[in-house]
Amino acid sequence: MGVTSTRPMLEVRGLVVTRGSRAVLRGVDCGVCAGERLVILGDNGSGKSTLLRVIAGLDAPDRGDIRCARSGLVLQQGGLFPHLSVMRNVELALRVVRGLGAEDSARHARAALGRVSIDRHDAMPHELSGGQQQRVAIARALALEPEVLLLDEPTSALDATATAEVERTLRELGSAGMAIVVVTHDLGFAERVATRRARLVDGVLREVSAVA
Amino acid sequence: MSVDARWFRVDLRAWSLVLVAMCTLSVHATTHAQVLRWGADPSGGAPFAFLDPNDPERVIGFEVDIMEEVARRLGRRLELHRADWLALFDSLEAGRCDVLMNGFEVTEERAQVARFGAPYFRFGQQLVVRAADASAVRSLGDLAGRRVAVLNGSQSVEVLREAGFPDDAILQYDDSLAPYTEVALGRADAALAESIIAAYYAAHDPRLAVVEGTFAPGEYAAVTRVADAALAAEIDGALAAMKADGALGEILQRWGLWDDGQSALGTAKGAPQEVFAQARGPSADGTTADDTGGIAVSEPGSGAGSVAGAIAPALLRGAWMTVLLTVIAMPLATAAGLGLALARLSPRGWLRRAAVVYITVVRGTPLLVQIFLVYFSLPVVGQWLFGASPAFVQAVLEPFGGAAFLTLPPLFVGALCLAANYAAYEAEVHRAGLEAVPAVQWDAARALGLSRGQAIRHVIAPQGVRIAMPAIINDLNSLIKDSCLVSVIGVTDLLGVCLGIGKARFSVPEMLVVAAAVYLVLSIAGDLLGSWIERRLRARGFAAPQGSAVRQGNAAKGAEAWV
Repeated sequence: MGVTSTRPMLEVRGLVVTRGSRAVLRGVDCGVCAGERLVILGDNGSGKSTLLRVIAGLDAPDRGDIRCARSGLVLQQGGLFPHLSVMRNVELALRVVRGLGAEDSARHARAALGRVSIDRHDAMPHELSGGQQQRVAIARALALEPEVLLLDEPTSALDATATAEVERTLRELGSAGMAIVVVTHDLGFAERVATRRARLVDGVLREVSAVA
Repeated sequence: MSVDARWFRVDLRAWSLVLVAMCTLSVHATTHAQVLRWGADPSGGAPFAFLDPNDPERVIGFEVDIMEEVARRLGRRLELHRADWLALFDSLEAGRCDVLMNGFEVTEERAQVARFGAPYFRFGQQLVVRAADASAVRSLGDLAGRRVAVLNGSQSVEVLREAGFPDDAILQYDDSLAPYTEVALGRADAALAESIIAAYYAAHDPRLAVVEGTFAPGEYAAVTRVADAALAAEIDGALAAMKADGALGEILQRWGLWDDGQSALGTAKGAPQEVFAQARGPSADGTTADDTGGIAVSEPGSGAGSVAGAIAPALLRGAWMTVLLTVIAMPLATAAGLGLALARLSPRGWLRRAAVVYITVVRGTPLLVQIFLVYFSLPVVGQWLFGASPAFVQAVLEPFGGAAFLTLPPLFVGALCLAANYAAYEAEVHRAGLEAVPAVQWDAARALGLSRGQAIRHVIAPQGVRIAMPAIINDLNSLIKDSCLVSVIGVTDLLGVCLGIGKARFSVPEMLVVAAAVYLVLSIAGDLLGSWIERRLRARGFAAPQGSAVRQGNAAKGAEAWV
């Protein structure tokens, strides 16, 4: 279902990352097209988060090529700024990085929050439920208009209801043409949200199967 | 708007106000055309120059009367520069005052570094012992092997050394009242000081007895800078005239200080004068003797008949000075400390090292020493800089005091030293705060494309400051009390006022209890302010575990990786 295309938004070739003497990623290849939702499964310590951080540019790889359209990263448990309201969280990068004025940044932020169905713009992060916080974090990434959305364990601290909220949001974004990469160890969540699934084992990414 | 941004902005605004005020002050302090700046330590004691026991807003004493008469004859306005007695020579050298007259005995040692004028008073040394020992002690010879208390740095020390007293039998104290208290309490067996001090402080105390007879005579003289020959000659001229026409003799009579020894200095006795009540100690009813002259430090007090009414205005002024020092120093220390903490976490090695050196040196040396050093070296540095500057820079500096542009008012220097000292401590508090910000916050900021500086400004510092806030409030409390150290450079803060009043009224312990009580009130007020700030931060959702990210790892690691 949804809009998929063959235009690759993310291409990774031969990615190698070592931590000390341990090779965490040993030649990872993958590609994601617009509208695809790739879910990467793997045990704790398998290197899932490292892969995401390298793609997002937070860490540097030892070897390998990454070609990635504009990406937005949603960190584990959101990483919202606790001292800023929902609106300020989303606006910060628009103002500081993009240099938008008050009006433009507010408009972009409202639109991004609208896409994840959050209307409590003035609430502080701790006043929101876990699912709402995760959606604000997604909106914060969306406000910068990424073409690839990267999510690290988006449901790790969420109950079933909140997990369902995030699933719905991701499916909607995928349908709208966003390329999505989700790292998780939640098999059920992977099953429900993925268009493609892969498993990271011994530092190598293996495609599991394609699901409709 | 976020709370933090508002806080910083309020700080900035307050800061610019303070700076403007300071500049105005320093300009004001350095425009003194026909002013005679007289250096003395009013906390030193009676009858030289001391706080009026019945109106501590005023400084009185026989030296006040002499200096006022000298200034009047020279057609100048007298301005009192306060400093710790031991620091008065440095104040003179640093150009903070032009003349010292505060019981300085003429000694060869001192005459090498400053210019002594003609003597205005001749004194003798006089012993004071416990009343019970009065019959046994007749002279220094009767005190062999016993401990004698003296004023630190006074001529009495030399007199005792020459009489063969070993150093460990000579107990030195920083004010002239303490030796007598020590004798009364039994820690010392006798006190040796100039006869006029003995007469003022010991004569009224039933526990003490003044030993008849004086010995080892000496002379007090005004002190000027070696280079100021003209001023020295003017003052000597005025004093010579006062000696001749009886004006000096009349002042000494009024203070009960006249004796035949004064004639040896060429001082005429003048018309007979009555000794006024002040010269014999504070009046019991607290009424102010109005014939004492004295330098009004400010508007006269309320005039209430009670002791509390008499000391309340001075006490309030002292407390206000302490509050002022705190509200100037603490925000500066907090801001500078944050800067230092950020420098410590900087990827630039030289910046990290500079911050570590500053923090180590400042935390590793006594605040008291820092205050002294800065206060007396700044003017010298200023003179040197001014001399080394090209003409146009000198022209720019001219309205700010010219060569004296770094001769800043004591309040400013005191606040600056407190701020610089506390900044080193706040730096460590801030560092702990910044490092306690979860690493995921660095990642989140970076994932959004913020630069390192933007992340610090918008994400890390606001959270770090909030985490550090309880510790900062704790240090605020500590600074309120450490501020009393600036009294050594003549800032009359709460403790300085209380000690001054205590010495003037022979009630140091009582006034220390009063000081402690006022400090306690100020400290409680500081704590209330602190918990109000913390409540506000909580109301804005900070420190709510649900909302904040998992505290994992070390933010500094994240910072190091992000270069």
